[in-house]
Amino acid sequence: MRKLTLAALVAVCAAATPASSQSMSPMRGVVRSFTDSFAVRVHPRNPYKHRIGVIIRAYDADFRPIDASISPSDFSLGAGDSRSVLVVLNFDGARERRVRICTESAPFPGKGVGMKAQICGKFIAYRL
Amino acid sequence: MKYIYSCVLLLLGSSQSLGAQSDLPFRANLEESCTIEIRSDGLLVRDGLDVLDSEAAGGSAGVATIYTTGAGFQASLKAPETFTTAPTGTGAATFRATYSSTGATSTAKVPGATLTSLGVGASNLSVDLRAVADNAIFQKGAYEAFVTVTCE
Repeated sequence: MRKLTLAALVAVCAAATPASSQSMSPMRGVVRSFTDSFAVRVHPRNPYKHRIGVIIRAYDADFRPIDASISPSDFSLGAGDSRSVLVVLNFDGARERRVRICTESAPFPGKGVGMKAQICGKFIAYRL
Repeated sequence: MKYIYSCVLLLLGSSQSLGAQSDLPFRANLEESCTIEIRSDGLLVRDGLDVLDSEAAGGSAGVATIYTTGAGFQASLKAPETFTTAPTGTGAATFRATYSSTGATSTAKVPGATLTSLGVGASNLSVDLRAVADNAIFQKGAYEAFVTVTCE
């Protein structure tokens, strides 16, 4: 499993676009992997002047939740901060997989805003 | 004599080159990104015994601004399925979210699930929510529901 994860990491380093400090980046990407798993690294950012809770989730092309190893998946971000998040997914036997990786704001208890923000990047992975 | 002139000209040329200007480049390579800023809450008010609506008199729409730095992004809403806060005993309700946009994206009011292509820049979304109680009335107490604004 460690070899698979390492191979996926190498694949994402070679294929994904380098990130910058935005609310979430990259928003698009193509990943190529030699193994049955692939990885995407995203960088959520808090644009507010106050701390927020952030949840990272993975969905398929039809917005159905899918299994993924997300590290970290649930954390808080200070004002203006960003953090690197690694998402490892499986091809589940397919040659190609289209996924959405979403940064979702999680309002703190007692500070409900009535609206939640969800920013989703679209990624295509090919198994070589 | 002409050798002396040549030497003087050469020295002048050298001293001018010592004072020459050079450009110092600053570069940036920005990725496309999408940022959502929730600017204000919506306010639901009673519109009959079984309806809570932000468009009713006294209510207000929620406002979110979406900043995009590239083309090809789309916005939509997900209406809540239940209240996250409601008085004990509150039954099920049916929610309907709608939005309109001004700024980089101009669109009249559309159902929340509608995907709207975003212009590059700042788009201001005005979000409304309507909740209809299923076979009941809304009793007194605090209610809260969350609309999800999506940029993809």
